[in-house]
Amino acid sequence: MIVFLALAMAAEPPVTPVSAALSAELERTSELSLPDAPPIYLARTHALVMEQTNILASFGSTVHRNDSPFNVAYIELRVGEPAFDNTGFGGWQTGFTSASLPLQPTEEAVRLELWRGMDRSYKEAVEQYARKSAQFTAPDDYPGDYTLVEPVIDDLGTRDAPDRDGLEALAQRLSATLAEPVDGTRLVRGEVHVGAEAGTLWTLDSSGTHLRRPVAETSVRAVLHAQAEDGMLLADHDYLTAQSANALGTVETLEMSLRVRARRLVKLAEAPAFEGEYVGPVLFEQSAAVDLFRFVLVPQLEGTPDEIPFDSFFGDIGIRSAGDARLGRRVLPVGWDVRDDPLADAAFPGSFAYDAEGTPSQAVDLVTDGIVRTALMSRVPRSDIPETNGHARGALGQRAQGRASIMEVTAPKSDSTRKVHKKAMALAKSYGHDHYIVVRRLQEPSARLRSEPYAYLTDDEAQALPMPLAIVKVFADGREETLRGAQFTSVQRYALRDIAAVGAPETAQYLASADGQPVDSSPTSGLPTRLTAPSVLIGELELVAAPGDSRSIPLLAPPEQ
Amino acid sequence: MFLALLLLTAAPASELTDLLSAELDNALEVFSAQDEKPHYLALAVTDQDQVTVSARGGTVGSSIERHERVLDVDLRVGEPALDSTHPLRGFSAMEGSSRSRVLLPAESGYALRHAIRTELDGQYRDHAERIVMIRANRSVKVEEEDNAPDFSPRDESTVDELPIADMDIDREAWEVALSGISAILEESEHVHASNVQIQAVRTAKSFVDSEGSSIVHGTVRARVSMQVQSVADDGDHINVFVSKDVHDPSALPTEDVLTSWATEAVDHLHALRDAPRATPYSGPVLLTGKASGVFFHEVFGHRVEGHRQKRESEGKTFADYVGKPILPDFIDVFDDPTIAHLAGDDLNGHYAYDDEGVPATRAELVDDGVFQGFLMSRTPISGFPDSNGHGRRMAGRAPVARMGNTIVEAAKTSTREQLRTRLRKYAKDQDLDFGILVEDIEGGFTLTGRVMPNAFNVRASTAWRVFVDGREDELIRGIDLVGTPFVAFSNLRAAGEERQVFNGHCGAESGWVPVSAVAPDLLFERLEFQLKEKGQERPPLLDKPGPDGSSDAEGVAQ
Repeated sequence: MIVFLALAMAAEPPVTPVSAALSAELERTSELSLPDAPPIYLARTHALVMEQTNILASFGSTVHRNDSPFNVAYIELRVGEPAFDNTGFGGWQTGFTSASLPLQPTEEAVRLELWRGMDRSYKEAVEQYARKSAQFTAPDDYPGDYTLVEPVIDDLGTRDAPDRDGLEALAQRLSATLAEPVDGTRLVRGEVHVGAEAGTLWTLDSSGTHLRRPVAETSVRAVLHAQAEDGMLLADHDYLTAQSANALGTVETLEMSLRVRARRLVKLAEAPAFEGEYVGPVLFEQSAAVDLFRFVLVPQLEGTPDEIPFDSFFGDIGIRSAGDARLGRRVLPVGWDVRDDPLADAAFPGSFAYDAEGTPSQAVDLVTDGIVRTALMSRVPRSDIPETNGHARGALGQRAQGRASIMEVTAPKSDSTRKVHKKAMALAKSYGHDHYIVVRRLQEPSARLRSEPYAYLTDDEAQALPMPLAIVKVFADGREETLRGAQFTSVQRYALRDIAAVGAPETAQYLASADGQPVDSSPTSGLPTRLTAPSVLIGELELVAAPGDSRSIPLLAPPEQ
Repeated sequence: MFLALLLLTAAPASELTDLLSAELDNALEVFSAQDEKPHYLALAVTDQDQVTVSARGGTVGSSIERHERVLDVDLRVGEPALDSTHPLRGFSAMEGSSRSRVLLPAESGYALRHAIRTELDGQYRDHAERIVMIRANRSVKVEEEDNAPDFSPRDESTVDELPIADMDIDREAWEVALSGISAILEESEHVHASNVQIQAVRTAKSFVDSEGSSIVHGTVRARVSMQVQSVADDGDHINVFVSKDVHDPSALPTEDVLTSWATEAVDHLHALRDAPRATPYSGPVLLTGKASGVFFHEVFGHRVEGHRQKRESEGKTFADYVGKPILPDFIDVFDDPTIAHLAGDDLNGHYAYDDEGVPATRAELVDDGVFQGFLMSRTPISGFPDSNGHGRRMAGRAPVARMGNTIVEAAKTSTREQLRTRLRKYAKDQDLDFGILVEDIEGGFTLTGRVMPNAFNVRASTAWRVFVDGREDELIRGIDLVGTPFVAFSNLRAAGEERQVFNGHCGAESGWVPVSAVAPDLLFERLEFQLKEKGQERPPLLDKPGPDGSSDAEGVAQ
């Protein structure tokens, strides 16, 4: 109640043509009715009114630039009652739709679009409700489909359009660094994608929620490919996101970072290839440590229940294999904690005061003492977590999922570098090895895509832990030998229980898929996420060789500068 | 915001063709040293500047300008008699190219050359693999029906650089004008959705090949279109679409003309909503000019695209009819991309060179009713070894033989009234109360393969019952013209005096290309209509929000 009273005093959003249209058509949803159809119990609209820029530059030149504004309304209609409604059932035409809004969104024009969209949504919702009712009988312990919460009213403002020409210049300048030869050798792919979004997100619902929030995200994604003499492709990437271009850092710093990355990649292509296989301890350091937790732990903490499969002509639709967040399960050793706090850094684009459903966000202690205590939740309940904790994220206009935002994994204690090395070496010896393996960077799965240079996949496409960019053999005397071309075999979630030593914490940000589908070329069309986790020594993992394809060695020499 | 869209950032055409030639020579030298050698290589760069302004709901829907540069590599490994473009048969035909559309930067620097070389490398690898599969496929499968070579080398090369007009579009003025037109369209409660749009495209093509050709040419095209949609009480989707295509954006219709179009379009929408749905029909049909053009495009044009005669999966409807009558002796048909204007209209299918660097030429297709030959790219077929400049593609696809300006001429003509009189007579002779007159169409499609029926569907958007007893014509909706080519042609009886132009875009294997079809009214003694698919949704449940549903909010803001 304290929270609600505080919010009730928050600023009231101004009346604009868009908000007036949303209010007017939302109010009219109460008039929508069909014979014997269940009533609408919650109607929600979001309107994104924003400037958007996407730029792709390759080796110093702009290849593609799109400055189209992005004005869209998303409509979510729920019929029936929270205990059983039209949602959470597979298939499509579910009652959630979108409508493109005009470039100049007058009240009349926006109302026309909403009128059409609401009509379509309502008819679809009624039919989906019937399909679900016919095919699914809720068990006695069914937790229901949705939870209603107190409405919120707040105005967090808006953001002005980005400097598009400045962003293009940034993309060109950064990508130009990727054209620079490294001791006479060049990358085979050097792209920089720059995306920016700035504007307003409106969220209104029939319970009285009325929010105006700023949209402010500028992201840079670099994709670097080098090729070894045996044809092996090595892909690296960089992803930076901030609320504005200025907050990304100075251009000189970004250039320097890319130069270093390019040099390392080119030099790595000259390293020997990994052969055979390895079973034994693996130390994850730097960004690889974060990625280990990103790919193995995070899916176990995102708690929104899967959709009920929809029995269709094409077979069951709606089965998801991700999620699988089970309370009471040990996912980390004793003493470890995991917390996700969307407001831990308000300047981070993945931060939010209200989630996608308009619920105030909360810091959540997901894991304490190594055991899952709760999960990241939207308003879709589950029997063991009946309420939201303000983590609904995902593509607007779709069933929101509880997703990570700013997460921190903490260990009860950490070891010194020397001690970690000692433990690793001792473990390696028990396997009969004279070395252990260190992984410092994984290859972003999307950055490896070659056939479609202007698209990339997100983390969700990774079937397992992605390929390491390099593996480093570390010997007892501290000597290191870098190899390329290794991949993990079936890393299970139990691997995180097998943490043998803990090093210093690392932080990295990544772009999670908003809807489980591959995202397009825009580095802003996903969910910016930040994860902090310590370096860890895993007691046992398996690595096998992933040789290159000699057919892919270019016949044509790269051009002169 | 008065924009003169030039390729300001792009390199001059000659600089680009020089660069392409250098890359081509380098690639040929390298690839020729491999076991599988190329016999032909062409590089093409398409620069496209596009301006689109649309309005809906009485306001600006979108206003976009965009530049795009696309690379096309046509590489043929093997020999002209059998090369890596040869069709595979059976299971191997599943083998497709994984190459995707290649965007290029505008500047002629390292990035441009790198992108070209990367694509060349990938293409060579694909084609070198494919020719191996083709040889095996040929030895495993039975002899092919058409043993023509895969490529027709040209004795002469072409070096040409044609001027390409600038494209001047006053976006701001169009935003204002189209918003006003849109407001008129939205006044009716029965207009459930509408859009009015102008789109102007300047295309510059730079082409070089291993035969020494170096060509720069291009076009400017502009279109204004207007669409109003409704759902009738019975669920039928009612759609009225009008458009005008021109070569010079300054020749687009004025605001006054568009205003009258808007009023007519809404009136017509109302009439169609009130019109009865027709029933399946077999009887006499009079196609007016635009409908005739699309009819010939679908029924005839796609079946005379040369490359289809080489594929074993195709129906090859007219392959054995060269020199034989297929139409009445008063009908000629040809396809001539060199014609820029006809019957008072600019033609969409006009171009100077095709996408294989061959000068556009008139292709004689039917003379006095006798079939003469095919639309040809540089892929020969039996009896037709040479291209007639119809190898076309959308940037990013491989070219195949496509239509340009397909023109139907009649040596013997009748007035519209004479044709209507004959229509009634045929109906009476067939014991029918009426014949059908098709005034307008919204496109169509045809199936040319062997598995599915070799049939066509011309989607009638405006059709009338013309009664035998002289009653006033009755507007009908909900039917499409269907049939098969030989039967349809055998029922063609007469043609009208005036030709009309249909301008549109045609989609096929090589993507969407601009085309025109020009034809007179055509009278058929018997054709068939089938029911068009019908929408099943109720009209919107709530009343359309009107302009009076305003609030205190003013202006346009976020």
